[in-house]
Amino acid sequence: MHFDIHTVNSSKRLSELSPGGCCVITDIGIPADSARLKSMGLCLGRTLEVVKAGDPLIVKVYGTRIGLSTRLAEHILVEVCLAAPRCWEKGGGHDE
Amino acid sequence: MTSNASPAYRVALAGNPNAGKTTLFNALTSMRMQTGNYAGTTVTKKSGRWKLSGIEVELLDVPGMYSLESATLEEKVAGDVLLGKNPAFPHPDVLLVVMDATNLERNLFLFSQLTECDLPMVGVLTMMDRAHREGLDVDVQALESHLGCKVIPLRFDTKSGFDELKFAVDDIYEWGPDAYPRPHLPSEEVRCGVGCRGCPFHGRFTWSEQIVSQVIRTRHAAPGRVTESLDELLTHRIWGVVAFLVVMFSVFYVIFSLATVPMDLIETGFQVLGDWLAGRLPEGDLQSLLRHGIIGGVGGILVFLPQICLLFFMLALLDDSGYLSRAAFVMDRVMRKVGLPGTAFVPLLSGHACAIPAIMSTRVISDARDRLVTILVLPLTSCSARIPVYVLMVTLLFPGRPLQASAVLVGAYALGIVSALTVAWCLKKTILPGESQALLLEMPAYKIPHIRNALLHTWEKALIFLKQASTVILGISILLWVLATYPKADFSPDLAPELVEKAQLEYSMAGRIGKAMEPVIRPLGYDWQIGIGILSSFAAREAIISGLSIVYGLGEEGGGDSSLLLDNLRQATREDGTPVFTVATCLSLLVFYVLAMQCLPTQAVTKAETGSWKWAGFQLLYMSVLAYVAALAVYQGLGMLGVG
Repeated sequence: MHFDIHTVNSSKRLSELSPGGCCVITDIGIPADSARLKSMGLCLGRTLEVVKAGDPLIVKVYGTRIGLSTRLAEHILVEVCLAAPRCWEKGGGHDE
Repeated sequence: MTSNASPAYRVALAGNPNAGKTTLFNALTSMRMQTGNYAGTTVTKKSGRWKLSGIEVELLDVPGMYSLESATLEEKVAGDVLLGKNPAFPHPDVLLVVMDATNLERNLFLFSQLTECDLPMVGVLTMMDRAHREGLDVDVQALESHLGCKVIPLRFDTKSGFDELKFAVDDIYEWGPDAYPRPHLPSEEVRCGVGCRGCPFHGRFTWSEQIVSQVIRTRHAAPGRVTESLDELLTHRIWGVVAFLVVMFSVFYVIFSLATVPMDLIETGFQVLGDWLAGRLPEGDLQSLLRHGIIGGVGGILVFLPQICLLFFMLALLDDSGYLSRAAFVMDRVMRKVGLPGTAFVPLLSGHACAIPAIMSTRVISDARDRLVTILVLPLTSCSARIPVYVLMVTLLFPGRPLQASAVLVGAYALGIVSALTVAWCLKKTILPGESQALLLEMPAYKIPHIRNALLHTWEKALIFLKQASTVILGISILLWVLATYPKADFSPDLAPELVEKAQLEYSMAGRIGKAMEPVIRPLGYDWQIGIGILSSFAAREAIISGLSIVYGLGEEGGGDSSLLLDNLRQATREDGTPVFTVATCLSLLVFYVLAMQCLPTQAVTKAETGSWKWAGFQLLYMSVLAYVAALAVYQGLGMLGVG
């Protein structure tokens, strides 16, 4: 369930992604803000799409857009999923 | 139970922020609402009466929340109320959960947590028109059977679903307390993650995604095309800032162009009232107290009410349209440099119209410390009440030289905003340390704002302001009148009335304090007359103009004729014959009024929004010290440069 930052080679920081494409959250390494992030849907195993890169950046989670600071995004690890080009085309989300 | 209609049947309205909760609340209760704060907090408590078929119930608008895990104070208060943990607040009888149909996964997450409140629940689906446009087709019956409770799709445009909602709550009421079936609790596994060791969020989101995949039948188009293209522009690194400036400029333009008519009306109204009283009451202390103390003092502040209301209204429209979160997004990077979040920028800018609504609008800042710092520095921005003082000083300095005059005016505004940001930075380094809370902000889809919602919001906020400030304003108006009226002096009867006024003010306590203050304010370039002016404008800074016009022998009414006042000020001399209002004195006084507090209603609002007089006192103290030191530096510095 919990991914280690050094062992998952394909994991990237959310702050390093470019817009478009869909990815799955594999780790959130920022305990202080994790409740805030998680209750907005930025939670382990959830899919999201980067809409706008930069600082702050915009991600699409479920039906809504969330603006977040790079200070948070650099602690969120994601794996890019190659199957679906856009998140909204799939019915539900990802699950391991 | 059914026969015994209890008036205190409580229905709570909960849901995600931006899910349409307030629109539903306003639609159900119309104007019949009550607002206040939850005891011991600054979180807004709002409730209203909602008429069902048989009974009238109390509808409680619980603060918007993303989860019960309470990341913010609002969420904590909301959670306590819904879980029955707030001792000052009885557990509600029914819970309506407002869910945005276009974002059902996240809204169902909250629903799954709220099932633990052990209350009969009704799900309300909002944003159905948008869902329809986006080709989202929700199988409501399937959703009901998954959740184990009634789910009612609502449309505000066609008013459909409102009767069903009423009947659903009626039905729960008919069943009586504790009898109505509760919704399905998600399984242990969902609630705790795997074996209570995993992430409780994870299990719930998986649960809600599973339900959504079964109840949402089709999805044709990409969601939010309009929002996507608007955001392309409005969150752009450069164009976003330009758009923001244009929007805020328009807001100010509307405020300043529309507010003058009602402001003139209020001013005339209070004048008529004062004159009417003068005709009814015999000349004497009572007439003077009512006319100058109460009507004059209260009127002098109420005259700003149209501006306050307009600002509330415009901000509510911007918020409802979805734009405010974009403004915060665009300004976040700049604001972070002084330790404040992007959400602080719109309140700081609004302070240029009036600090009162601006301070009340800092509730958008989620971190308590960030919010406190913003409130503390906000009165440094140049509000519209400073304009008359600025204009007076600038005209004294540069008669007939508009270029220099404008340059100094721009300088005054720049000084205000720069000192606000600098003080914020200092506070963040010293007594309220820490970085600003990292931006995490929902950016809802753009929509046409509801005028009715904005009007109700304005009405609500204006009432709160009047409630909070009226006693303070009244008290201080009376106190200042007493200071300026007693002790009474004896005058020869053939003295001109404006000279009587002048002599009386000098003889009064205010006059004596002004004279006693002279050694303290002398280094700033002020004489005791200016001291009285500063003192008399303690409650409202623009009162310095009438204060000066009295001490310079024009009578109170003389302040209305600005050229007369200007002439008098120019001719005013010290005992040694040198002019009082030199360049250095004017600039020093201008800087003093940029930085000094000099506004009691703002202090009352600071007290209400921070929960204690301590921070209002701190605000007064640091601003007075700052104003004094800066004015001292200006006067003495100019003196050293040889500018008299």
